[in-house]
Amino acid sequence: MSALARIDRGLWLRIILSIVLLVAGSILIDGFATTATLASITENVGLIGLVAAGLMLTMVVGQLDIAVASVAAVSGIIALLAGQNSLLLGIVAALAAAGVYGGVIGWIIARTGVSSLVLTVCMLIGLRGLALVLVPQAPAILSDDLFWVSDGLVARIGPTSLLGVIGLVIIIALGLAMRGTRLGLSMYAVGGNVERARGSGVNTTRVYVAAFAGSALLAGTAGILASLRSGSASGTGMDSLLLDGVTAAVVGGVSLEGGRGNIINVLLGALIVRIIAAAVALEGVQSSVESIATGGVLLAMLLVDYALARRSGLPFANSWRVLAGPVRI
Amino acid sequence: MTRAKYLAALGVLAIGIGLGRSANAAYAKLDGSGKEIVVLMPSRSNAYLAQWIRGAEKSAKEDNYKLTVIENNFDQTEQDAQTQQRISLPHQPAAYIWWPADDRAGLATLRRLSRTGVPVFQANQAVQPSAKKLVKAYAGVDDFFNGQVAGKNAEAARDAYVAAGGKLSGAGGNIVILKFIPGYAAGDDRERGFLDATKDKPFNVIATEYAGFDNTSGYKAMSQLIPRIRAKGINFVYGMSDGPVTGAVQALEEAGLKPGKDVYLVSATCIADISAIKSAKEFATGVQAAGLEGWFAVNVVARYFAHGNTIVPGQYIAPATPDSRPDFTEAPSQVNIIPNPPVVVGTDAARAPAVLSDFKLWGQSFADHCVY
Amino acid sequence: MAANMAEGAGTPIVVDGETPGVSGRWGGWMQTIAPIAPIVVIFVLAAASVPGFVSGPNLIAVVQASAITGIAAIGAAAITIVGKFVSLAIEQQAVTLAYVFTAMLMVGQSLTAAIAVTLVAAILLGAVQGYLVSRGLNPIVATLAFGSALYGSVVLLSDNRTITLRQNPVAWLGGGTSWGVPNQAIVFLVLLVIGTLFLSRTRLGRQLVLTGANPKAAELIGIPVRKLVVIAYVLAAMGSALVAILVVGQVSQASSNMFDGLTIDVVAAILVGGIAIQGGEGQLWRAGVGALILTMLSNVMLLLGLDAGVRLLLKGALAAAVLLTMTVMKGRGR
Repeated sequence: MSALARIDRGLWLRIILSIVLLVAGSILIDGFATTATLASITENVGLIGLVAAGLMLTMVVGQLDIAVASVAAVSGIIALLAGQNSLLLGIVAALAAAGVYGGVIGWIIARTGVSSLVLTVCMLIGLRGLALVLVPQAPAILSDDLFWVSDGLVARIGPTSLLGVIGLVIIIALGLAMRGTRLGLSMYAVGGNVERARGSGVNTTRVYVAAFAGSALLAGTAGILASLRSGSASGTGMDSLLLDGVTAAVVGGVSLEGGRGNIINVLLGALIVRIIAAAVALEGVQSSVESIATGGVLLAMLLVDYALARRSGLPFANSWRVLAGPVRI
Repeated sequence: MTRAKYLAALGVLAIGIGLGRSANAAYAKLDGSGKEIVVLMPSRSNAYLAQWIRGAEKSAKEDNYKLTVIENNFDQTEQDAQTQQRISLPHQPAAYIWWPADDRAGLATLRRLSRTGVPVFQANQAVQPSAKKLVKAYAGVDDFFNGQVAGKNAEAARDAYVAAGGKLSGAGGNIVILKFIPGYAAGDDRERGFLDATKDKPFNVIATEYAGFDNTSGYKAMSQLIPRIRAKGINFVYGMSDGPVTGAVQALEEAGLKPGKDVYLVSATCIADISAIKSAKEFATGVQAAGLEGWFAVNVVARYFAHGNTIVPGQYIAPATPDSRPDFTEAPSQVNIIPNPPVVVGTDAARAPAVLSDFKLWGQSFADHCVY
Repeated sequence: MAANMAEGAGTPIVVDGETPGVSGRWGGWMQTIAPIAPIVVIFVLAAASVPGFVSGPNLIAVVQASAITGIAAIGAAAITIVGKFVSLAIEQQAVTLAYVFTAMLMVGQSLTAAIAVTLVAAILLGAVQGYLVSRGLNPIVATLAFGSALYGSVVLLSDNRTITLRQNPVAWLGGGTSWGVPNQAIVFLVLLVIGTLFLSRTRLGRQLVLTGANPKAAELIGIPVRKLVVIAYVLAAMGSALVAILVVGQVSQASSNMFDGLTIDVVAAILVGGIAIQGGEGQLWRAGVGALILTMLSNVMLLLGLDAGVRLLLKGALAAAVLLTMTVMKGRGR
């Protein structure tokens, strides 16, 4: 009962914060209250939301995949490189690579009990190297006769763009699957208490593999979409996706303890992050202001969640667990 | 003969003053009446870019333009998103200045930018051949040219080295090239320019290594390089800017090699730290001034409008006049390059500060241009 | 010296870093060896294939090049040992402290005053992060957010300018050599010894290790767990302060991107050194060894002329390999 109330309070808080930011932006910033700005915000919510949703998957099972930005960069590069002749082939190849990579990582984590955070830090470094190996000099470029794809993605559809629609549809479908399928529910169960979940017959290896494969697929999708939008993919690109994604997920109230997190909040988290980014870009203030604002909001939300958890008498739980890796199988 | 030269110089001076006067009249025409110029560029958390913005802001104020700078964190994806947002707004600026985070990766966004119909000017990063039609004009540095300046500096260093009784270890002298970072186009251009300028009497390149942009990374690269190549004999180091060169000076000294005696170091451009050149541990550099580049970029845009949206075909290299800023009254060219005059201090530490304080470019001192 | 205080959660508790608590003698020996093995392998391979590798100057250059990462890693290892992984704000923290230090010198303060103010600033930065984390905020996200806000503030306050010192009173420390060995390298080695002694021989050090091994048990026997977490972050910040002073001494300036990539290097050093990430193992020397391995690896790759991308790829692969080996062996030992 109290848990439900707490989640609701968190949800309301995020809705109110989004509205306050939107209203403040509209009053203070010239050109903010336009459909163009709204479309830009929602398009990027779709993009950042994909990364954040992937992070949510691993966080729900009590892990963390910190290599998402590198995965996105490599996927985008593969899609453009392998897509020189057939773009569809490139996209399929990139997604397959991301999925297999994620599955293997998930399997290793489940089997060895290695800390996912630490293993994915290694992957963050290594995959960035792979990106630079794939395109050492010039970035991969979308060929001219395929530029209609790039333009199509940013074509306006109502209050968003095609890219935004693709992102949002995937995210919402994922949210429904998380709540409506056995696999989704067992993810929450594993994140809540892995021993109890195993006791009730959940195949934990499958759950970890699914979570990490899902995370890599979502990050890969974001990377492919971003690369198609840019018409290019460079070895050093997409670094900012990590901070944006983590901020969106955590501002969206996904618990790093596992077992908690829902897609609506994550979308609101991504919305808050992108409102700040849009405001900073419109106002033309320097990017250090954005660093301060994003860092500040992230810290503030952590503290608010902490305070809410304490008031409702639930253990905020100490955060030792994330670091310890899953219980061995 | 000398007298004729003297008179001629006086004449040039007089014309210069006269031009300056008439130019002042034209100067008043550079009035943007408060119209907006939007700059899309990487973040000013880097000191060079911060100084560029200061120069651009000064220029915008002189010519009555409103300058809005939209920064990305050296990330093309972020810049693409920001650009997409800005171009979809109903109120468009008078002009865009485009400084891509990644020149080649930003092409698609540049294409969209040009499709708005708003004139686009590119800054700092050379226009890609396939993007020539997308931008009105380029204003800023020319890294090939900067590389050539460095090549001439290196030749001067070689002459001095031999004159001082130094022995060249390889044919033409052994040189180490410290590049920026992998995939950074300006580094490739500065290498090509250097090799082009020295092609008649080439150096013997014994190592080419990525050494970043600043002292710390230059030091790291050089200190790890020295043990491997020392036996071959290091005569010269060409660092692409003073940052890595200053780090290399440190590394050489620690290894017991004396800069300005055992090894002569040259660079293409100054950046922020002038300690090495001031102490004559660095033989020569070039004055590529960040503030001046920013000033020039906005000035080019202002002249474009003042001349009824005219661009003159071809390339224009702004003169390196010492005493005052030239008055730019002409319509801008397609490619507008800022000067990068070489500064050769030699190897005499006592004399170096005097050489630097005598140096003037556009009425400002070496320190004004190079310290920020 | 080994004291198995608690059996909680089945985590092995190692106090003086020599004797593993639960795993057997063989497993413990293997664990100690694990991080050294890559050093030996890389060294032998390099000596055989790379001309100029085994020369005095090159080896000194390797130690020297690993000093900055190593010192920062030794500090950050306190956080790892207490069980909070690492601060993701190390880079930003070091930049901040470098600015504080140079700014103090620029306004004409004495060297002593500048160092004192820098250390006080470090304590503050560490204490804030430590306090947040000790209350139960996630260490990764809290320090990520803190670093982002801190960096933005410093860049804003410094007006995006590089501060260059005209007179550098610490040049001898940052750039000088003693008996042919760079002073930075000496500081690094001395710190390694002090840190190891601190952890194994002092009460505070042992309490840090115990807290990391099993916070609940530590709390039960009256160890002020929260206070120790704060102390660990303060120690890490002190490491950053030292790094800041050394590098300012070396390059005579503070600039916003002077420590680009330091955080990743530190994390990689801690991982490759094989410090148990879940905390509770007091083998501080591993952080230093990790920094050495990584520098040696990049030195070899540099000498072999490998591209930057390949170097990063191998770095990540090595870190993953050491990590997985350690994890699997620990599992066997149990």
